[in-house]
Amino acid sequence: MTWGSGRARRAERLIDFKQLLLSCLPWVLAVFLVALMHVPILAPGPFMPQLGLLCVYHWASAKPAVMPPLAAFALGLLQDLWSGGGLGPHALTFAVVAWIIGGQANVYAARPFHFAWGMLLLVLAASQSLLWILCGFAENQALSAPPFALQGVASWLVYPAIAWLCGRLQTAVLQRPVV
Amino acid sequence: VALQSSGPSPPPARVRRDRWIWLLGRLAIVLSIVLGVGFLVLSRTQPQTAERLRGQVVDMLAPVLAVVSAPMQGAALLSNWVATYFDARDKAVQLQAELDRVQPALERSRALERENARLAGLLRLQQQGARPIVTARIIGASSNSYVNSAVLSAGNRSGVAPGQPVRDSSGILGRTLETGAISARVLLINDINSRVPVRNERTGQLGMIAGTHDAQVKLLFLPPGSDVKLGDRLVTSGHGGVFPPNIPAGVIAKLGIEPLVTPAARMDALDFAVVMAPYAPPAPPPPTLSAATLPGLVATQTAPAVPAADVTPTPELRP
Repeated sequence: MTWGSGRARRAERLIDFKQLLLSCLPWVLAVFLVALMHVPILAPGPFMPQLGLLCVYHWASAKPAVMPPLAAFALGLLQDLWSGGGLGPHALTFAVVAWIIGGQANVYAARPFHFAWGMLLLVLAASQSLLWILCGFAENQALSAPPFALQGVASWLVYPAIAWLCGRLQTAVLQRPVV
Repeated sequence: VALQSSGPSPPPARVRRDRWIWLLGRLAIVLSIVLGVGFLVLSRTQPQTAERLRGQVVDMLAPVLAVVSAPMQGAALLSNWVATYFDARDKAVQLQAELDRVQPALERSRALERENARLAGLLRLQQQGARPIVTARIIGASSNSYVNSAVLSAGNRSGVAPGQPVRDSSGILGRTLETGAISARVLLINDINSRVPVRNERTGQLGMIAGTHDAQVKLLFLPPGSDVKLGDRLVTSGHGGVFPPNIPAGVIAKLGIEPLVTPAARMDALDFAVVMAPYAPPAPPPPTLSAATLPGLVATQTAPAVPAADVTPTPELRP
């Protein structure tokens, strides 16, 4: 092994490490948004959008490699732990959304934003219904459905902002060559 | 055509790697679903374990929440300050008028207070006050589809334990649910699982406020034909031994079979909260009636009630 090849290998490893760190940024952004959901200045009521789920949906449809189901599961579990509800409903829902939408990423590719926004309605209807069932199971009581529907509507309305934020991150960091 | 369609085949090592990645991806999906179901079952069957886990994680994440919420709380404080500044003159005039109006009532109230204290002294009545344990900042609040809780920046180390009443400067906020070393979760009064015994200040009628998962709570267990009016103030009744009596709970905002109540606490601007000792200690287990225990039992019954303040450990009051 020559001196030059050793240096090249080290440089290659460094680039790999940088790429790994950069690929974690979407997850870190999602964690930040989940933390933001728990800031105590917002009015009580089910109007808080599912910021974490929106991140999962965006990355699963745009770049599934950065939000695999296991990462989405960890994010959902964090939300379950933070929110004080039963463990598992968000974790399971986020993982299922990442799995299903991640598998359909080629359907989303090269389609306009409105397509993703429209599809989100279906995804939110399904995910909020699943959450309602799972939360009811975890809490061992029949929960009222309208708050989940309201939260779904609020989530759908704020999605353009989340997509813009994630898009900025994607163009600013993830698509830039690592040096 | 055949050459164009097939193209150069990838090296076998890459094919193997891709196959492994695919397999690991599938395993991760299965693992996520199995873990998710496992956590759900754990929440359902072993809620204490889930609570402990939550307490530990919230402890670890409390600094993150504090950092994230600090600029938001700062902005809220600033906007509140600006609004207060512009509102100050009107408020001063309004308060002066209010003061003039209530001055005679205040004098009467002072006289009654003195008389009450004298009578209480005569009766050797022991007033059980609400003893504060700690004042803490609220660093997190969950307001999703089915949970209304807040996270306090004080836990076991400051003397906070599950089941302690929590209030802000305006009224009752809720009770502590789970505690970690440096953080505690509070079940807010607008959570659907929350129940607080209250009394109508005007009529003395007892009831219970229950969360509706909305900004308002509902008043339950009123007898038919109860005298309830819009604007009636509700205070805690002290029943149940958790919430000390006479802490403002809310104001009747809408009449009905289950009247709606606007909480006295500022649920939309949670900043600081006071954790208090429970009003009354839990009742001791009933003693067995035997010749040996009977004298002790008689002594217990005749001894004056020990106030809650004497039972709980010495407070560590922090600013």
